[in-house]
Amino acid sequence: MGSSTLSIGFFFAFMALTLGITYWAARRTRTTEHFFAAGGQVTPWQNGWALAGDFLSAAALLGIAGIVTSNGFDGMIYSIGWLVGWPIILFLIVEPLRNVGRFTFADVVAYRLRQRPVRLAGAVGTLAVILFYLIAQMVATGSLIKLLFGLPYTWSVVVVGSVMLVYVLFGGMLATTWVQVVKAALLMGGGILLAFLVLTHFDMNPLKLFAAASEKYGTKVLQPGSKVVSGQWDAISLGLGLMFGTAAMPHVLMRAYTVKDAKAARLSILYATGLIGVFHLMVFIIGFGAMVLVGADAVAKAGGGGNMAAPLLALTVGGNAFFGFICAVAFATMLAVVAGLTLSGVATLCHDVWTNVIRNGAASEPEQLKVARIATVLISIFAIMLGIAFEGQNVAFMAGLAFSIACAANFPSLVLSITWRRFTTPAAVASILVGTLSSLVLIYLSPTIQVDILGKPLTAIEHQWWFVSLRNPAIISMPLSFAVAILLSLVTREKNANLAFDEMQRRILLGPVPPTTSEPARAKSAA
Amino acid sequence: MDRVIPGNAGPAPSGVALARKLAKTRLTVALVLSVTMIVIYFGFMALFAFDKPLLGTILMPGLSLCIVLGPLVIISSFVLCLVYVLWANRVLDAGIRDLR
Repeated sequence: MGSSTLSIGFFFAFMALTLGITYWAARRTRTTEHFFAAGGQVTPWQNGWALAGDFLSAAALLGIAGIVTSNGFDGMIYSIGWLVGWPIILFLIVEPLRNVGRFTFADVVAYRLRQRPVRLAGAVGTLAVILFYLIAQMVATGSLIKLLFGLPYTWSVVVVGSVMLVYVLFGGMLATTWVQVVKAALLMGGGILLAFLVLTHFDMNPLKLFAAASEKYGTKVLQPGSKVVSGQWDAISLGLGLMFGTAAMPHVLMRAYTVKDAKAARLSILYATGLIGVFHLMVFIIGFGAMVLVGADAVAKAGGGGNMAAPLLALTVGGNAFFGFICAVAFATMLAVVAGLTLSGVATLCHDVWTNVIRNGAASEPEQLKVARIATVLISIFAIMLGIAFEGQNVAFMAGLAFSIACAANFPSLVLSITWRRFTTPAAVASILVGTLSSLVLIYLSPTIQVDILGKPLTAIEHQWWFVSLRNPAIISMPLSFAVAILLSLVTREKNANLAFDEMQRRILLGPVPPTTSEPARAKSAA
Repeated sequence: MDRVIPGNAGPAPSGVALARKLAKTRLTVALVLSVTMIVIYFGFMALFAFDKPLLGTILMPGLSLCIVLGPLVIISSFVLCLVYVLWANRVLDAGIRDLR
């Protein structure tokens, strides 16, 4: 098939470029500072693109376009949810993170608390999020490559896992950043072109597109429905998970450390928000375009749970070459996202667990790098195995669950550690663990696992005492996590944590600056 | 004791007090903007969850209320980010320069 050859050609071009970048980056990756934070030398503009690259997953292009194509407006619920977390990152999190931490979010939570328990708990929360999200990404990747290139699912997952391993293992954050930038540019370019080509069929007027869609499928496609998100409280819960989960995704937070200071980190979040917002508006056009120009039935028939909407639309409006291009872009997207996720998992395993818990902060640079590389291999193998084990799940939905865990496990402890003087070690540990465990238990008891995966009939379990009808646990697990944190902080006292609060507030503003002049208070607090 | 007297003529306020004041201002701005974002988003989600007919009001052919409000939520996220960055670049950074 011509289109398949073309897409393989585009894909190999992307691989050649990114592997070239990795080779270049590998020669510059000598320290952990380089491996995890690209030496802090990424510019805000580059980092904004890299953040967009890290964050815009296969679910954002293929998943949401597919949901819009089959359900109309409802797909936008995911688009909006994935964007509204960014202002929260900007307002509450990014500057403290950049100025107080070094590689991970646990750096900030543990800053004035006891290092080992907090970091260990933080690692549990982070790894749970990453593994869940990796599953979603790997599954999407495997099924898409199978669909596009005819490569067997298992092999697809193995190929993606191996290439991502090469990026991270040799190129660290520098290579990963540039892979994200290239991928984001391709994704934005492809998305803009696709949306533009759709609109040329409708006099460049989106309203005519929507009108054509409602003429063909009824006005219901322009109205909120209940197929994509069923249940009223489930919708609110999904919203909580998407908003505050985004604000606590480890691979997004990690990017705060790749720029030179808090001001640069602030700007990069602004750029990323703009890019991601524009992209999501285009995906909406793309989804409706596929609905009208390709047809919802044709997309459904193509398989992949609606994921083929965008590629098929590209075939219709741009021919074989564009189809090949969009397929390759989708492939590149997944590759880049799993690389970013893996790197943040590696940072947690190496920096939090090994260096600060096992070695109590006293590991040499070469040792840390070695551990980081071993962790990279382990996570990659784990990702490949999980990808194979979870074949056939809905992508956007699985990602939503990862966000719920991030929102309940990481967000409360992060925000409280930054803003609340009374916050204590037991509170931080309990909040992270309760957030993680309650999310996992609630997911396990919900129809997501009980019906969709274990295959039990809904009627048989819905009257069981343990049954949880919510598919999105955030509305229970996030308040629970906050409540545990606040209660435990109030009943425990930690003198050091309390005393270090002012110093932390100063550092949030000033960053880790060396003392400059004579002022005694400053010299003391920076010492 | 940590209060900073505006237009002080006496001894300069200590770095700690100034830092505390600036940190408080930053947190206030951050919280106000966060709450604004949360109200916008969950206002929208509440309509989506509890009043689908209202959100599904067809305004004209090809345009329903949700298709107006959805992109508005996206645009407002960016605008709020812009507001914060403009404030921080002017006010916060100036304050931080004074601290240093």
